[in-house]
Amino acid sequence: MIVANRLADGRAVFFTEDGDWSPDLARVLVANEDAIDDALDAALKFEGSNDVVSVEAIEADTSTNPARPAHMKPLMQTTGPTVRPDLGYQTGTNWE
Amino acid sequence: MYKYDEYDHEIVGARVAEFRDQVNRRLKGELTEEEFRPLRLMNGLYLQLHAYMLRVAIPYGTLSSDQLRRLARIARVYDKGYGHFTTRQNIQYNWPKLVETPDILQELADVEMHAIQTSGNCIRNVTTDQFAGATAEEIDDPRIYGEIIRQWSSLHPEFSFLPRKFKIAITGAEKDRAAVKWHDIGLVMKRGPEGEPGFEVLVGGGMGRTPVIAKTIRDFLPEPYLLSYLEAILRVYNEQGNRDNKYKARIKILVDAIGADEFARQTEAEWEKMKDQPIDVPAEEIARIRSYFAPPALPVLDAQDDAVDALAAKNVMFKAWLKNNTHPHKVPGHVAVTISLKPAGGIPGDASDSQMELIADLADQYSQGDVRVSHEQNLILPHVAWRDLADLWTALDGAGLGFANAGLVSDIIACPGLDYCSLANARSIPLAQELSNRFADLTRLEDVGPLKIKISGCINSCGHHHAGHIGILGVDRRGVENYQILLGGSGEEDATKAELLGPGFGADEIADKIEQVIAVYLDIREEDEHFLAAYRRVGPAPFKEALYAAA
Repeated sequence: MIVANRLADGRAVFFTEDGDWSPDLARVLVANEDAIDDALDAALKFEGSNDVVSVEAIEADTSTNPARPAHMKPLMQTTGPTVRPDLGYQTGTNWE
Repeated sequence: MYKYDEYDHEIVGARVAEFRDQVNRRLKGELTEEEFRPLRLMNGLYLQLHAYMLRVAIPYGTLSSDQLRRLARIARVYDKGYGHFTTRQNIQYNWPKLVETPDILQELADVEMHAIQTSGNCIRNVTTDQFAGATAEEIDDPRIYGEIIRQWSSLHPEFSFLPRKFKIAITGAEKDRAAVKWHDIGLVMKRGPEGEPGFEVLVGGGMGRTPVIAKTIRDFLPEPYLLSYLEAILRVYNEQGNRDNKYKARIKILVDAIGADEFARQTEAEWEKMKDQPIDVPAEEIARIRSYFAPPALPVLDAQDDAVDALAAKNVMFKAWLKNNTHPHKVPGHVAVTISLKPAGGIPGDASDSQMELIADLADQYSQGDVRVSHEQNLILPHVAWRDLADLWTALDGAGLGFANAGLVSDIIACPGLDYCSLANARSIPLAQELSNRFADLTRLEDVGPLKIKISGCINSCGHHHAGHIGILGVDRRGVENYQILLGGSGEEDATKAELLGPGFGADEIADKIEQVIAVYLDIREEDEHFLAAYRRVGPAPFKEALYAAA
């Protein structure tokens, strides 16, 4: 999967199956090694158009549904800080 | 405290306007991220895991009540209602939006603050003793020299692109509360043979992946030569520091490579060439800056008050707070008060907007409008009359700020860690919360006594684990958080590097292991022996045996 930060507010977002960006893991694009380069090319175009920064392909854990990042750091980006559940992405309305 | 003159206002105002233009150009796509990144970093704006982070400079940890109110307002209007006070006496906001950052910088400029040089390979905010100007231990108020260094180092063209970041700390007293031996340059105020003021100069200290305690290169530098000598040190470093490898770029690596004696020799040679050039500050200018830090006219008062005694007799927390959270003041009948930002289960260094506003109001009422930030992530009211302590504590306690744990085991330093920081490998805050919950009981806290736990979520050591009596380093061990224990460090005048005890522990067992370390200490200590003294006496063996023998 591919993660980035939105330019405007820095929020972590993931590249989606329909070629957009979303914090919603249910929409995230999961590509195998053969397809990830093409997906990354498509994702990087958004860096050029100044929607996102720090575009990066990361390993996915597909044992869960929906898939989620395999490593701690991008996994943390899906939840917000664990020590402020009142303020992170979990709260929904704080974010959109 | 120092007040901006017309030049300060002009420089800071111009920088806000410049950054506003840069942000607009970035949002319109006229600047790429590659072009914009160094520009935002020069204004303290980082991109972290979930959002941008703005680091605001608090020069030598000194705030007026109006400045603290403004920091509270920024937290409320532009952020999520809180700020995080750091180990460098600064404040960080965790959720600013890029487009609003110029407005935040303007709000800061309106109260004579900014975020310049809180990032980048330049001279960062000068740090000092949180009790500066209040403690009877000091030779002089180190903030005078902190301000002189601030003015000299701000936008210094020669030192804006150093091999790596550069941190200077200064203490006015032999008692070191500023961890000066852990800085690139440490300055300890001293008196010379004729009683004249000056500094012991240390270089090459630092934490990170290569912890080094600074070495003295000059036993006594007369006060008038402060800036020319600092300039000579910076020149030697700027010329010879390693620019090829960021992990070997700090001055500590250079000092280690050529030796402290050779570094001192080169510095002295450089200094000889410039010491009589117009670099140093004229005496009248030092006097002008000194006038901004003139001690408040406090009356000599009794260090006894019936209301204080009455509350202490019936409230054990207040009684303990009087002992743990007050520091003797140079004016009899007064103390410097440490407001703990470490409640049981709290996030070390975090303060809400309403807490900041309350502390600002209390500073006006009880502390001459003066507030300090300590590198241990607490706030200080430096000039409080003893007779006001019962009222002050009652107000603080009502806002969750009355915990009597300053200097005790739950007064933990912790970096933001993996909860916020893009550099971190493991979380720091949840462990600090767990430990402070386990030591929430006042009787147990006081029984354990003075003990400094310091937690970093990565090798960069923002949580000062190398200087912890108990240091904890979070690492990523095959994708899982793992915590190493280090023992015996000190950030004070007897600075020592903490030593790694052994293999790390998982997140689910590290708090138990820390409790075991403390249990060993309680078992071996002699009478009133503090943790660090006990460790220095017995070494790591009994701790290793307790933690690893069963494995």
